[in-house]
Amino acid sequence: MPDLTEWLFHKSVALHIPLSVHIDLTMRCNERCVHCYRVIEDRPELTTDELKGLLDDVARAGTLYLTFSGGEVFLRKDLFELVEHARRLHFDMRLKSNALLITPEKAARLRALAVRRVDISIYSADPAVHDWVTKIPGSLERSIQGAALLRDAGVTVKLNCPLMKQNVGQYQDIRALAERLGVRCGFDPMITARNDGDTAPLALRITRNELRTVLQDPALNAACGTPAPAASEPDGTRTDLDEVPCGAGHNACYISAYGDVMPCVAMPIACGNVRDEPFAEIWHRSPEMQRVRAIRIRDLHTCSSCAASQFCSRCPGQALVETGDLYGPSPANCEHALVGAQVAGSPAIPASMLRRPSTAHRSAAADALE
Amino acid sequence: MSDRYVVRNPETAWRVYDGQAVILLAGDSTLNTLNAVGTYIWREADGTTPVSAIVARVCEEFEVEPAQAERDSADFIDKLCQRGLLMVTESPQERR
Ligand code: SF4
Ligand code: SF4
Repeated sequence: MPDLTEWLFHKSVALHIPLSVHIDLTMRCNERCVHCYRVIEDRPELTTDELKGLLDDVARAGTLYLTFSGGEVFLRKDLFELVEHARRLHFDMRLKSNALLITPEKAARLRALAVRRVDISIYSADPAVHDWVTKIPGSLERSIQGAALLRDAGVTVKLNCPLMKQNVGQYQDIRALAERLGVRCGFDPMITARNDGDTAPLALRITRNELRTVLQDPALNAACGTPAPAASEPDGTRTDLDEVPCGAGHNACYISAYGDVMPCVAMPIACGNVRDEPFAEIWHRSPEMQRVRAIRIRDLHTCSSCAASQFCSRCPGQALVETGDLYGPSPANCEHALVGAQVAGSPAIPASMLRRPSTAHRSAAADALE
Repeated sequence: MSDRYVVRNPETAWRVYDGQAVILLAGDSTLNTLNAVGTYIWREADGTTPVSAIVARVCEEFEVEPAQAERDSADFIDKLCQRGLLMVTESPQERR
């Protein structure tokens, strides 16, 4: 079955189909998470009619996988009208929510509309920690209650947990919580800067040693202890130089609550606004989208010669947000790759840590080689 | 013999790429793909067109013998019903 997924990925990239689209329905939220990367702007959010028209356009463009996120999607009074419209257009639907506003009626309605999954953000199994992250007392209890209501209604639920200094020691408790609830869970050790460049959330990132502990846990890192597949020749030359770096702008697309179209939710490059021109026009013809679409791995100045690439899930959006350079390495991904290689017993060192021109990188290299 | 009607399970998500349908069922991320004839039947499976009419159109579109088209379509419909993607009814569905 993975071949069909791969076939669909390659087909959509070749045909320039935005297979997966992520739409933020609102930036409003009923939590105040310390690590949140969203930026609230002083512009009106897309209206119900604008969003319905956008869904029609996106369906015509061939999108299959649709994610509604935010902000908190249940703060939109028209959420069910939008989900209903989307399902009439045969999208595969996923919602991201904190589940604070789930009721038995809402859960049953989501099931009836055949929403495939609801992803719920959970930061700890300990209310003191979770509620500290969200800044809302009682939020853990309510989110768990929401997850249980969805589960009981027959909706697939996944608990998503970004790992940070404050909760990294407790990820096993979150896994146990998910098991008790009978739902899935996933962990993400990547805390990103805010989309306006504010790096404050980065102070929450876990340390290299903490990352090592996480990657050494086979339950979190399926590849742990197994040799990584070779993505390079024995001399270290990458064999995937003509490949696209990722789906951003090829088969993935993001539309903000204000109508800005971007190549991916993680890549804040505004390519146009659906209030000014049709989605298809922006997707196919915007110069920014075409620039992203033209990038191949051989164009990445450091990563194209990186011997640790098979341990790296380099995110160009992350690179852009961290360093302002879409073509360069993402220091956070390098860190992850270095530890991933060490855990797999490989001597590979990220190319960025071997170079000398920048003093910042020199110290990272020295650090890495110790 | 009374005619049958086929209708796509409303819990499916689907698109057609390059003449090939890609279908998912809610709660399951398994991808199903159909060939050109299967995709044609899938698109026609609106619950209001009798299977006999769909088969007749398949014969025209794909230049297949009627007996062959009938057999293949019946097999195809059975298979998709087993996977939960299609449903067969004895009477036409209300148009939405
Ligand atoms: S690697 Fe980053 S930019 Fe590319 S599709 Fe994934 S999240 Fe988006
Ligand atoms: S480890 Fe760093 S340098 Fe190597 S491919 Fe990843 S981001 Fe690029």
